[in-house]
Amino acid sequence: MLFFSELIGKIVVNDHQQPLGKFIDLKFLNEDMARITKVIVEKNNELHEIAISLLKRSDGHVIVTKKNPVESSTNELSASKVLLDQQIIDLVGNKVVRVNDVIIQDIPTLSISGIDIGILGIFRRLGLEQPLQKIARNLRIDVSMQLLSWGDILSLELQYGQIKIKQREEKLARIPEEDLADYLEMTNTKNVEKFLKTLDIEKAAEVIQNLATNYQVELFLSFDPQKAAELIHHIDPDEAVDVLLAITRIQRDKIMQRLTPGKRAELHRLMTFTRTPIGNLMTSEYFAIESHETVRDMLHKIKKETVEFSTLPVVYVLNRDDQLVGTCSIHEALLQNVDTPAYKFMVPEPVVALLTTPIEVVINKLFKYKLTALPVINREKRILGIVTTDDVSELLLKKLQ
Amino acid sequence: MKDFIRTYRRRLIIFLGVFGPATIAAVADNDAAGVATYSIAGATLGYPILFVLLLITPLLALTQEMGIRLSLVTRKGFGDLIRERFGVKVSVFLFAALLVANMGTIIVNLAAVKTTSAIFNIPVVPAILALSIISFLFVTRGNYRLNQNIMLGASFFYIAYIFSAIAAKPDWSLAISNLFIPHGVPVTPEYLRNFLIIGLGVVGTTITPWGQFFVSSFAFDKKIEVDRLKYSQFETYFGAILTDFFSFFMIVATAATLFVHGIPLVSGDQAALAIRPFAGDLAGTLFAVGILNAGFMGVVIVALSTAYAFAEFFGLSGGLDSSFTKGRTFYLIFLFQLIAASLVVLLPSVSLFRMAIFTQTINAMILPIVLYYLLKLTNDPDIMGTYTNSVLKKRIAFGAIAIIALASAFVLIISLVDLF
Repeated sequence: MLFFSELIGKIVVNDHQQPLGKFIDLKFLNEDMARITKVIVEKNNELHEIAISLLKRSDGHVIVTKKNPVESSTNELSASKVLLDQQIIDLVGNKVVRVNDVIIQDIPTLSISGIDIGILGIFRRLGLEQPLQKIARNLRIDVSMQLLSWGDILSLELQYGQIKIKQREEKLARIPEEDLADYLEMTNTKNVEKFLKTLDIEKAAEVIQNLATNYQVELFLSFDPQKAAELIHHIDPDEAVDVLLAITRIQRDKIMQRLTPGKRAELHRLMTFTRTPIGNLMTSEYFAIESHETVRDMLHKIKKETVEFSTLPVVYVLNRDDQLVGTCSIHEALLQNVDTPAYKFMVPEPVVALLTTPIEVVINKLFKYKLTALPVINREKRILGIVTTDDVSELLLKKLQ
Repeated sequence: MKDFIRTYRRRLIIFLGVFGPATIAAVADNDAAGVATYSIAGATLGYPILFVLLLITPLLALTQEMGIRLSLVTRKGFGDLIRERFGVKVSVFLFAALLVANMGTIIVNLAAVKTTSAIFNIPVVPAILALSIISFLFVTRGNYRLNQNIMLGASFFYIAYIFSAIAAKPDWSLAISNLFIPHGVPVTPEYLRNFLIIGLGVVGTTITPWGQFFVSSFAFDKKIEVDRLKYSQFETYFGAILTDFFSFFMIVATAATLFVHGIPLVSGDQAALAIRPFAGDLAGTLFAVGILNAGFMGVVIVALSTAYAFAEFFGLSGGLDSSFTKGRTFYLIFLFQLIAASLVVLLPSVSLFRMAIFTQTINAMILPIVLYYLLKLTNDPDIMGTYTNSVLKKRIAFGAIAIIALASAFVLIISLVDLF
């Protein structure tokens, strides 16, 4: 998750670290899912448009992955012209507030997922977000984000230069910053369904693949079996298995019937391959912090709580409800300022396994995503334990012998 | 002939429809702080300072016209456009500066009310409280129309100064001739220095940062259509002339009495008391009534301009026609200023003289910045379409801003020297 204001003025480099210019603006499609198509950079006093497929921020630079060729669309809008600082009005035309910042997410697809309308956004623009949070923390004041999900904005009105929201102003959401990505994904998932219809099946599968498991499940329950089967064909088998095992048995059987025999056999094999319960492989030796805790807090806790640990591969980040919201490596944490809270640098939307996930799938995921450990969560997104590469290596060794 | 009358009657009716914002914004520049400055100007410098008055009238008209044209053409306030065009940093900075400057102006106004009510033997605390409560009730309970009419009524009360000036039996021919060529006093280096400083004070109290915000917000709140622009432009000229017409009499009243008799006036709010022995009880009383009225007008208009600016910069709903629940932040900012200013004024340990200098300094610092943005916005064809400034207007405005900026820098240095 990124904020538009944090990108402005940064040097944009491609994924080979070659500088492309200074970040000025970005363009997005005015659709139910505001996909980002281009960044505008300034180089030698000239503006250039770069079509992108991935946008990342890393200390002082913005990394973009180029996409070719430049696709052009009539409903492409500029974020700094139509969003940033503009007035938001409600259904009956009352002024509500202004756009203080724009929130960018790359899950399920690189898009504008929401709008920051709170005081934190103003402070971020002034470069004073961290001091404000520090003061608030010391005074034990809860600074929550005030935001609008992209799903709340009428895209038709935006075409005419008006940011109009679907509701009356009283209903605006107040969300702690660490839950932002999750909240936006949830509200936007409602939009995803409509949006998926406009995509070809391959693209749609790609988008769904990037959603958190609970939203995937929600979506699959609402699809008709034929459509679901088509999507399953295009989704990574590991993900497909997770989804299929999480939905109801009746729905699962309906979808399985509609798959091609080859695919059906493959998934069936994965689902029933082994009876080894994942619970037996799990260890409860993992380290987690709350998302608002800082690097300083983290180091303090590591010293206090992990003396007995044999290894500490990953730090898990939980929200106030103890739900898993992200992960971070200790290396990444050490590169940060000691007062930076965890949600600022964590990787959101971690790869996870469920108790129903077959062990083969767990192993696949560990190697595919080059992870040292995979958290196992329940339906409420709380961590039950983790499976490390150490744990599965014994199993693999046995198989090899 | 009938057609001629009919056309003009129609035009008059349209004019009366748009009439209000520009006149109120201009006349409010003669708030109690303004009256105090004019009084000191008249008492210290005599008639020659009237020359400055003739110079600033077109400047006032020009800046007010830009503000009103901006909001009529774009259907947005000055604050809205600054935020949308120049971003959050400029907006937060300007709002913070405006808030501080406006708080100072309100305090100075209330201070003048405090001193003047003492002349009438009105107890100070109830007077200040009553003023604040009445202002708050009118602004929150009344709609745009009622508030506009109250303010227009208050503008009318400035004629008190005309009577006050007549009672002072001035040398009218000397006064009028000084509008065009300053003369009739022995020019000493001391006099020149005072002329420069107080002259700049007169410019600063007439053309204010809050005035630029207020005229566009207030015209926007009135929802005047852009096809009525000509009438509103005419009103800005009318308002500027009317304002300085009243200022003329304030200066004359003190010049004819205090300057002629060589009585120095240290603090402007003492003027009503000081002119009594020379112009008579009636003139003194009228002058005092004028200050009370100007104080009321200044407090309400300046506090309103902060509230409008906040709502525009940060996109909240707010305006005199919105209900209390809908425009809550707008009204609360208005109320906050009244309460805070009342408390400061009622504290005996606060030096109101220093407060006045401090306020003048802050205003002088922000004014060139505010005018710069005003000029930049009204020059931009993206925003104004075909209604951009004409070349002549652009040149005059640019020259004026340069002069005001220089003057402001000068006032700033002088004030800092005075302050320390």
